[in-house]
Amino acid sequence: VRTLTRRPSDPGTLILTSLAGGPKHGHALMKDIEEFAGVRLGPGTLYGAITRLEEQGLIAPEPEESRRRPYRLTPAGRAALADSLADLQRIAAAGAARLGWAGGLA
Amino acid sequence: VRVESLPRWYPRAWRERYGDELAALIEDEFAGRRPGARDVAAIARAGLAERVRSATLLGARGNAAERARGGALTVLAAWCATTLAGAAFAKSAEHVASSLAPARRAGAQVAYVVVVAGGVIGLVAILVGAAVAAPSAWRSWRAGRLADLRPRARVASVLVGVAALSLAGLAEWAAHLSVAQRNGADGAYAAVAVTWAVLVSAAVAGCGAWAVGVGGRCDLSRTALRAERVLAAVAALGAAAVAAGVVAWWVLMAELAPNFLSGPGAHGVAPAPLVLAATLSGAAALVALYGAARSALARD
Repeated sequence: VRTLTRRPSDPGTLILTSLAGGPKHGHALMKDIEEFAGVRLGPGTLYGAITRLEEQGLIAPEPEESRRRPYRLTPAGRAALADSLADLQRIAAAGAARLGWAGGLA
Repeated sequence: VRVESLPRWYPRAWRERYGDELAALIEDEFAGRRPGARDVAAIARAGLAERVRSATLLGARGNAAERARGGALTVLAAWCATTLAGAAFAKSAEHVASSLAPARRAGAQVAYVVVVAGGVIGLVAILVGAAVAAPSAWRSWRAGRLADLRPRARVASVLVGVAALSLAGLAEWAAHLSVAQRNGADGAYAAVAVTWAVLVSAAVAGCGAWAVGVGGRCDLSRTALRAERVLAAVAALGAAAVAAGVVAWWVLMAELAPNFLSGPGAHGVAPAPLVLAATLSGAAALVALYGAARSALARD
């Protein structure tokens, strides 16, 4: 079952990518995603995606720290992220080749 | 809008799990300032989407049994809209006899009968479905699983009570008015009647929300679930018949007695109830058919 879409801006992919760098709570996730992807996820979108990812077992909660609960990537989440990134890389490589970028992706 | 009130858009079970975290995130995000209208709308939209999703009314969430039950509950929710559409249609059609010669009534009467038949068939399916789910609902109540629906039940009860009591006053007032006055010529009566209609709509919506909540907490046996699937399909077909009948009746009346639809009075009706009936019944039929299909096609 495909758990993430091929869209680079898919909130699930962005959250998994952010958590690949280590556990983070909601606000830290928002800031990190804005920094590396230039995408600002609102609180509703972020927690909608966190709910789905946790239901699918792709992320897991850590102990709460003053009402802020960090999340970490699970092994299933790491595998789903790898699949998603491989898909995106294939699409990006096809686009680069068709644009005639000699060196492929920069 | 206060920041701490924003998580209330989400369902209770979701709030119990994520509410504190979301509230903390919102506090961090807005850092003492008030969220703008766009921020509030985004959180409200996400919260309402979560409510629909957690009730398994839409989408692919849950196992086959949950999706089948969710599809049937979608039909139930749509049926509430069909009920209101039927009431609006009845208001539009109540004086048709005085505007159409008997020889020309046949087509419109067939359409009218289709609406009534669809309504009766759908209503019977809904009531049988409620009876099938009743033992499970009783077990859920005994186990305390309906406790969080008490506020919803209270609101629905109050709305039904107020609507029923105000109907007595409205009927007493209507008894002293002419047909023309009851159909828009008396502005004050029309305003009160519209207010009462809104109250009834809120009461139906309140009862529907409570019933959907109860249905969502029922663990149905496989036999009961199979019965609910069939009954959902029957109710959806009833809703579709109501919508088709309303539209056919409108088209036929426009053809046979255009004056009847020209405006309020002794021999005509205000267009608003008929427009409402057609729109609402059409939308409800589409949602009901979606729910019935989702219920019928749910497989693991």
